[in-house]
Amino acid sequence: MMNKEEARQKLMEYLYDELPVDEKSEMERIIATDPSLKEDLKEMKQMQKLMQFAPKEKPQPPLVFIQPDVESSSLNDRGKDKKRFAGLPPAAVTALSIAASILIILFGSALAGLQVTSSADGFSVEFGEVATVPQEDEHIGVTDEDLIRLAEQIRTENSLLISTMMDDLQDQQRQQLQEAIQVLNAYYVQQREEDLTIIANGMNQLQVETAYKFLQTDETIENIIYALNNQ
Amino acid sequence: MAKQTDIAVLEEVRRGNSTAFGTLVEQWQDPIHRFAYRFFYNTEDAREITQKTFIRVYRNLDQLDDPRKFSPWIYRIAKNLCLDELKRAGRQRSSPLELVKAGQIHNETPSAKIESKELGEWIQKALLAIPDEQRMVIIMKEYEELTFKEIAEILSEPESTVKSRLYYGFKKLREILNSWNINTNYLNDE
Repeated sequence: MMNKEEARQKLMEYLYDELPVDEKSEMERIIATDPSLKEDLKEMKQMQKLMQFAPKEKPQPPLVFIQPDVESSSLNDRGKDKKRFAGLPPAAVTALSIAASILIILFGSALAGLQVTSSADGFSVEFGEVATVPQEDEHIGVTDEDLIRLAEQIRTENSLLISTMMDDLQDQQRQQLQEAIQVLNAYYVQQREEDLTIIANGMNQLQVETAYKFLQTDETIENIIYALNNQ
Repeated sequence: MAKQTDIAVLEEVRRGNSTAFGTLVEQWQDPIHRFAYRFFYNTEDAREITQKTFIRVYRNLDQLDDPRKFSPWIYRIAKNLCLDELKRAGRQRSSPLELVKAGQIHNETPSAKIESKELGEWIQKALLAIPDEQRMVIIMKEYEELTFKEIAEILSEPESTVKSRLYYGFKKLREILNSWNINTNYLNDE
């Protein structure tokens, strides 16, 4: 034997046809013999009918969904984005770092008065003015001409070596700067395209919403006219 | 619970398919908007809840263990957002039942038989006057056509509680409409 609360719950299942077939016929028998349940069922059915009169919402303009960083992230690797610097791709960050380091070295060298000189004893790297050491004649068993020739040869070789190194360094710097500029350029082009897409989507959304507002206004005016006519 | 297409789309979204989430939004925008609209009876609120729901879905989709349970999951998100909004707005949106009982709305209501369009308006207003948890169940059952089992899962409540809320919600609605002198054959006929 069911208590009143259980009977009401079964009644709700019966009302929405969610009772198993065997329980359904049993429930019908119980309802037929219980006037209060019968009255409840009648009221519930009336309410079900009434609910269908509630105003229906008009279809909404489609939501514009702009997925953040479509190309490089998925739902599973979004956390990795945190490592990115100011929204730049990792390759651009690397190139920019290299370029910045070179610029700092060059600027620092210029400020400190870096001097790279070569002599018969090898290379010397000095900051500020080059100290001039008085040369003393040395006699080590070779003639002055030999010494002069040897010094000339070493100087020539050193000059060539330094010249080659400087050229290589300049080429390397130029190449790195070009790469950095290309990466930056590509980034700005991509950003521009994304911005344009966002603006275009926003304009479309605004257009749709404006049209919808017009429709709503028209309908409100119609309702007011209808209400005024029926007064 | 979730449709086969939902499951396939969810798999695509999880694989990083950028257009799949758009498809998901397309499929679920109307049900979620309709649900929120019934709850607040306000288009702007419904639109805001719908947008917030999809933002939350996007952020937390990796927390959904079983794609077959997407339907109760998204409704649960929308339900929580609706209740949060009510808290935030200090329950200004709905008319407390005490107000109804005190007869303050009574004087505004028509006593004559009303047109079906007006009747719909009063029904929706009456819905706003019943307790939130009862309104939620009525909307899910009557307009979203969810089963008791599905509603119980969304609300994290026993099925018996859901059925009781529906029963007492209907009773309360009827009482309110009667107190407003809403005289319609639907409340009196078989």
